[in-house]
Amino acid sequence: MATPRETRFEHREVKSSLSPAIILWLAISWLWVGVPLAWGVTQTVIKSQALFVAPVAAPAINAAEPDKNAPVPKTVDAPQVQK
Amino acid sequence: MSAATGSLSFLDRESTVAKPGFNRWLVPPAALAIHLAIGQAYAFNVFNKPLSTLLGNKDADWKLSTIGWIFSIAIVFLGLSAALFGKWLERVGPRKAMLASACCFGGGFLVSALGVYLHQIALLYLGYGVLGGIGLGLGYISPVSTLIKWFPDRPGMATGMAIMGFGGGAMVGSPLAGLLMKHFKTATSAGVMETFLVMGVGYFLFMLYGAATVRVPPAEWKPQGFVPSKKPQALVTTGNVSADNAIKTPSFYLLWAVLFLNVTAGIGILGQTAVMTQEMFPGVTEATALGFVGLLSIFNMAGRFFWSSLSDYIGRKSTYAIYFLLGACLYALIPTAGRMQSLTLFVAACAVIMSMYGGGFATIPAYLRDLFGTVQVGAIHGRLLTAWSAAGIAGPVLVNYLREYQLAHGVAKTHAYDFTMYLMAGLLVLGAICNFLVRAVDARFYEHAKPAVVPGYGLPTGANVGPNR
Repeated sequence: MATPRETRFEHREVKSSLSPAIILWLAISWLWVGVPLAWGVTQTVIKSQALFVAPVAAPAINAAEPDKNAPVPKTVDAPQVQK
Repeated sequence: MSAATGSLSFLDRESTVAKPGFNRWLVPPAALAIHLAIGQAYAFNVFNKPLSTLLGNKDADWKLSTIGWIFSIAIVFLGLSAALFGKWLERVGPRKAMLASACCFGGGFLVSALGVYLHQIALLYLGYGVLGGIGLGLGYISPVSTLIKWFPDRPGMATGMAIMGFGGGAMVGSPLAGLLMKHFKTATSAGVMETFLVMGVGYFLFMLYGAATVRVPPAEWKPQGFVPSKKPQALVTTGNVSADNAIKTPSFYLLWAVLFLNVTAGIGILGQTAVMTQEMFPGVTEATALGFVGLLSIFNMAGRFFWSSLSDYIGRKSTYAIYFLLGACLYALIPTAGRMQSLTLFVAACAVIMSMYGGGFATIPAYLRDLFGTVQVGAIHGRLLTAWSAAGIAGPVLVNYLREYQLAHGVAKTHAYDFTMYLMAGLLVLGAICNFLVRAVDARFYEHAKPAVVPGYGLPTGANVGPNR
């Protein structure tokens, strides 16, 4: 037999239902956030392709002990990495 | 007189309580609308170069170091506002907090646009830094707290969804800013002011959708068919702990250290990715390094959802144990990858590290919920986020200082990061110890009695939040 507290749970429960209106509302809501997110991910994937296409421009010569006077590689802006 | 009778009553917690028939899967998009917007913060440096050449006069233009403060101020205010307004959020409900977040974040852009127009850096500090930072803090914690209450059966997955949005926000914000600046660019202007105006209004409207559609569950609501486990679980509390009491427990500080160490170590990779790749692997082009940065962003975002969802099955403590122990091994492997000149090994190690770094952010709210209950989890989460602010300062300083030190002592650039990586591995081992020491919260910190029935789980005003001694 249900305790009084359990009974209260039952009365207060928000029942999930999938009426056509809710399905439409769910679709709109997820598209609202899904489309921009998918666009952002696509843009990032396109940029990432550079990693898989000829990642190294030239073979590293004496890579373990490079010239200490060589110029520092150019610092690149890395806006896409979120902390 | 109740605030609910006022003209803005639709903002009150009472007005956001879900009515019968509401589907809880409508809440994650509301949360994502906020997090996708505020996640733009980590794409702010796309504006660095245009902001530094506004006047076209090197002497009068702002220096990059001056512009860099805008983002730093925003992150400091993120932590401060999350810590200060957490309790307010729990009292007034998510809709009001999300609206405040949208006003601050969108308004921050508008004030910054004025700053660009007048060429007053103080207005950018005030706009994007202070106002925007407050928007970030409020926006970060309010959806997370709400989702935890809607998904008591899968809190890790729920918070992972929202915090994944924060990760994705930078991916949207960066190309969007680029497109807008390109559109507004003229012969005499870089288009930054116009871009700020459009982004301010656009993000405000986007976030407004989240504020309008968010709902809180009725008090004592549970999902259909969900039966909370009656079997006692080692760390999962059966009571609720207030934010004021939470900071009196050792577990809070251990979790603070867990987050701090995880973020500090993660920034070791993040802050230096592009330069480090090019220095460790001579011959790697700038385009490749940028591609690698993009790849890490994807792993960072995906890890937020994957690892936090996994934590629902294997437990939070075990999940963090994986982050720290596997992370330490992978950090220690990076110098080896450099010596072997194996870019593949380096990329794979960094990608997994980044996924766990993101996962650390996403799993922490569920960990807090396990330890302290749901009643004030948003406020407790807000206070814990000060660890993020602290790590945001400590991490880059540590990495940059060590790199400079190594180079000054004649270490080759290909090995300049070796010591740093071993140190990061050590920090993660320390994090593993802190995680291991986390214990269930003592029952004396629980709230005295069950909170009176108030809609949406909030503590009743004036409730006794002192320790139950």
